[in-house]
Amino acid sequence: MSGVAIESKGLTKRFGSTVALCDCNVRIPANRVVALVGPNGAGKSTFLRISVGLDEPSTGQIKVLGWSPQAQPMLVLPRIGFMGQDRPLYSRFTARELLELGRRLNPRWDGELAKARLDRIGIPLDRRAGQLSGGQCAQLALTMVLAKRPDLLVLDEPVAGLDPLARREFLQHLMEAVAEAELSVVLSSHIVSELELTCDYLIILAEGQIQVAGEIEGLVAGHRVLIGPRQGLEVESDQSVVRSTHTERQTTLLVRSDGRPPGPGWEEHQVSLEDIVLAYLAHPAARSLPRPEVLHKEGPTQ
Amino acid sequence: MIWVAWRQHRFEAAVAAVLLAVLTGYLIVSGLQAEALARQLGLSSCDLTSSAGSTCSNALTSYMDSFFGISVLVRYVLIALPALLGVFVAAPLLAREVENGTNMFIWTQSITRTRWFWVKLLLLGGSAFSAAAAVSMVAQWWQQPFNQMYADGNWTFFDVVGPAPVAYALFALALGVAAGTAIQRTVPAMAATLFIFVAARFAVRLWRPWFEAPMTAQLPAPAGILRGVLQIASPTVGEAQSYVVYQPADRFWTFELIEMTIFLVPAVVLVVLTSWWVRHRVR
Amino acid sequence: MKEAVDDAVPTAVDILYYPNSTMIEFRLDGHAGVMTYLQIVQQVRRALLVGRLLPGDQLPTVREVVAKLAINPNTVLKAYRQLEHEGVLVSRPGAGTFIRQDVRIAPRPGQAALGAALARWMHRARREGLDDNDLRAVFDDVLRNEDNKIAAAQ
Repeated sequence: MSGVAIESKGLTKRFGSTVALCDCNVRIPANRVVALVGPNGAGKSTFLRISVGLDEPSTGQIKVLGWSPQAQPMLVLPRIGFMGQDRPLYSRFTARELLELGRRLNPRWDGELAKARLDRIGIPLDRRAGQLSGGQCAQLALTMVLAKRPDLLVLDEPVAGLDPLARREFLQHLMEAVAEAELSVVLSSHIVSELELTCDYLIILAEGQIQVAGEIEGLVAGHRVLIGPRQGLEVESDQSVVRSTHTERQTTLLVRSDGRPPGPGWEEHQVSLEDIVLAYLAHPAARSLPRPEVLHKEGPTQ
Repeated sequence: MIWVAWRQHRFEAAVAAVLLAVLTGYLIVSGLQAEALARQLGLSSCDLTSSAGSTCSNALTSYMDSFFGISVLVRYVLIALPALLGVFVAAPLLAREVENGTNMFIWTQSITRTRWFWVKLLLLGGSAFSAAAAVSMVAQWWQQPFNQMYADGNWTFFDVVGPAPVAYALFALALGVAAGTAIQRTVPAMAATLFIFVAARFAVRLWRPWFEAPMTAQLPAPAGILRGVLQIASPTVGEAQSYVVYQPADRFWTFELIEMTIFLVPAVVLVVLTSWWVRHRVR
Repeated sequence: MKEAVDDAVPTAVDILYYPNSTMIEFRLDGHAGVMTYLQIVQQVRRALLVGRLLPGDQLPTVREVVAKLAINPNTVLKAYRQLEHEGVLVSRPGAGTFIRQDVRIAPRPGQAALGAALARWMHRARREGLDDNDLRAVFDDVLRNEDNKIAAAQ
């Protein structure tokens, strides 16, 4: 499956006088594991909720798998799986009853897959959801979305609050599911170091605006840390400089690089994804976005 | 979705069923007992509105000693039922889902919010309607031996017989669901439902005697004319000409229909409003 | 929690996900500064070199690797594609991914001589008083400079 998972044009969301999202333009390609990163209150949850129809844009539009989740919910909901913050489930339902709920409310429900997963994880079917541990509950919630056989998974901080083992197991199962089916995933998280291994596309959302959107490989290849002799402050107005720090003798820059070597006297280093994310978050005015013609091009992206 | 709604609310349904069964059972038992005693005392031959002989007064006093308290208690329980429905069943319906975040789970299954809302509402509404109608009919039978104890006769039991209690129940339901949807937090929604419902019932109760222009009769009235009427102004004593303002007995069922309409129309409006809210405004 | 099973008897789950018990198991070093897919490529090459992987051996499926390491499947695909390109492995649709029977596992010519030259350099550097970290710093520095020169020449 090629194409676009989520596309938004001019997406804005206001709650009263607060602007949660401001003019977001994004074209998230399908068949990727997309990391949505940003500080608390940046608008990540709002964006994800709007993309599954739990909220409406104030202005602008959003299309998920080609359809509007607000205007055509029955064309979107059967093809997506959503896990909200804190992974809510009906705590009084047993696992078996939750599977029954899934079967009755979803046309593409794969009950065999669901039972096999629960069996493998070790969740007894007659245990109530509220009696499960945090990790088991997360796995049950993941089962509920995977059994829908969706084309797109939207996960709002899916591993927040889980102990490290539970987190790892969740990600193992998620990556396995991605390998098995042609699944697109958009997940939001605070923990960037985990994301570098699991994700191949990054979106940084800060103060309601899209700061960075691009393939992680390209971002890592396209940024460098340069260490060199102390520069004047005019270096900060250079378009390609994301972050600059100075000591008496030395200037350290994190720059967008086009591959050409820096001038003499400059040391060049690779940057980790985490450093890139932190640098952009520290400098909300900096941007690294696809060129406009890439955004509005029709047809498959690769 | 019907199965899901049932499974979600089966505990509440069971509790309600048990309560209603106990109540109905008690209505039947107490009604039969009262009927038996009334027959035994020969009360049917007494006209309570006219000054009667000592046998009738003694019979009435004895009857009231046994059953007046019960008639009051049961009447108040029946009056409270629609409020309980609105506050404890209807108000949490949506508010609890939003509070727990489970709306994020159920509204991303392959079901529209509209369909989810209507299935739940109709299921709940249908159950409320059936239960209220059944209790109303039993109450209608039950109150017959009791209304002789009251000056207003069966007008005393206006709130618990006929279409009125069914309309109260549906209104309480609509009000509760609307409050839960607008406020989206369980306890404040319950409080708002209780407050508004009680205020509405009170207001309409004060309005009720004036649904139609009342009639006036001079006192002393001819025998039988004041039997089973709703007295509005008490007879003034010590004036040259005393009179009573009242609604006659034959207007009872007309007034029931008017009261029903007064509560059903807002119920329908609230439901329509809520269904729009759910679709467009709930986070 | 699954109950403890006799280790010698493969359970149904083991058979499903680790069909070949001599299969290589990958591990990641998050701090190595080397891209993930390259680590997989290097581990396959190293395993061949020391004989842990033999021609004809089956490699874990993408799904198995990903289920163990919790990494993006595209990373594994990239590693396997590179190894296929280098003639190390072959992918048979429906059967799996296997080390080629005709894979060249011999160390590169001159590798032994290069190793000896490096050892002599290390001796000299240690006599000058450099410790392990200093050695690495010098190596990194020279490597970077050489890379920059190559890039500048292109």
